Amino acid sequence: MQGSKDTTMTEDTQKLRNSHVINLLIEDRHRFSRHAIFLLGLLSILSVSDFSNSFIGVYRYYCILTTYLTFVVMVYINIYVLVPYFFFKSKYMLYLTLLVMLVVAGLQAIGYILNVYFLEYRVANTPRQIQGVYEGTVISISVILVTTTVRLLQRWMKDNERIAELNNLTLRMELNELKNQINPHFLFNMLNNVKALIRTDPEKASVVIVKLSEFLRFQLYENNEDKTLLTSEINFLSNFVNLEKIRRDNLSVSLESSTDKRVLNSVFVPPNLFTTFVENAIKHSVDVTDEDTYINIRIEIKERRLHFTCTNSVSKVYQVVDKKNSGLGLVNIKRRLELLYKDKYTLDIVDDDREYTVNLTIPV
Amino acid sequence: MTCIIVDDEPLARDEMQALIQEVSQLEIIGKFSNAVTALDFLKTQEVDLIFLDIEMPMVTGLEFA
Repeated sequence: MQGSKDTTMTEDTQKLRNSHVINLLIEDRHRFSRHAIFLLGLLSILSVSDFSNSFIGVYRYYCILTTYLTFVVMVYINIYVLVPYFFFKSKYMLYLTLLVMLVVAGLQAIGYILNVYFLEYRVANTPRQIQGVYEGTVISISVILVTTTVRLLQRWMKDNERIAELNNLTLRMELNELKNQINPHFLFNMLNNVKALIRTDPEKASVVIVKLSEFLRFQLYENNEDKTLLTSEINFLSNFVNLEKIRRDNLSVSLESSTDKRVLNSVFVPPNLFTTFVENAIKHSVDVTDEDTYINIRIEIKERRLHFTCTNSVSKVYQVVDKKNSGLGLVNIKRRLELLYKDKYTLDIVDDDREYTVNLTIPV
Repeated sequence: MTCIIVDDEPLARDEMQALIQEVSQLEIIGKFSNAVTALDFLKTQEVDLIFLDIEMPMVTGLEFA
């Protein structure tokens, strides 16, 4: 099952993560240690290596230094240029070619400098030279392989963690959406309203029942799709606010758009994108002093972007307290917007003591 | 006997009113949508019975009592 495969990957990654060695290799805070280990390690290897023995005295150190510096330059070019710009961009052949060129160039440079500048100080000659080249190649290949592997490991672990987090988030959101499909409290309220209306205003009771059934139909069926017609979504919102309006004394509601109906009819949006904002508007426009309260919603399409604006009046006296859901709705919808549109959406909230306005734009 | 109805939902108030009117001994002398206006009224006039909604914004029915 797809689910369990992903969980095992997460568990394995977790186990790996708990190893100190892996942490040393991956985490940013150990970056200094990693570089220090590499630089000192390489120096030690070169110092004990044989090839520099063909020089005497202080020139032995020059030889080691030259080789060391060339290696360091090669490795850093590999890690910071070749791997990110070629290997990670899937240009593998190009990477390999450039890598080989880099190693060859490096070794040639070392050979050149040693032979030209330090020639006079050489003690032994030909047999050592060939062995030196051989040693050099082996060392450079191992060093490059190790450092490249470390880079790859870092990338792999980071990717795994991101995938696990995304999976987790998706599952939680799907669960939440399923839970939100029918809000029992809302249904309870509506049925009570219908019961009251049957006695006092049966016509209205009929209308309410129809609106309620349209509302539920949208929630049950169109909620599960990726996209729904903007017109359906607008109808849903209209039903929603009108149903809630029944429970209030002085609430006035407007849902307007100056965009042509044909345009609205041709646009698709993910379902339930605006519901949270409208819910909040309904909740927060409550007033205790018999003052007029209002909710104004406007939807416009301009230049391939949808502009959603929702303004509700705010009571100067009464601060709405919502113990159960405080802030959660807004956090969830922001997360959903991020996942859907990354940075292509804008969300602007203006909160003064008279009204609260939400401005949302998304690409369509 | 006199009574008042206090409830933030207009439908609930209407429903209450309709139910009470079936009981002829009760006379409804006021309907209020929040505790504040109800309390103001009660300062000027006494009633025998108050029908109170517990869940109302700002002042819950219990606090009112």
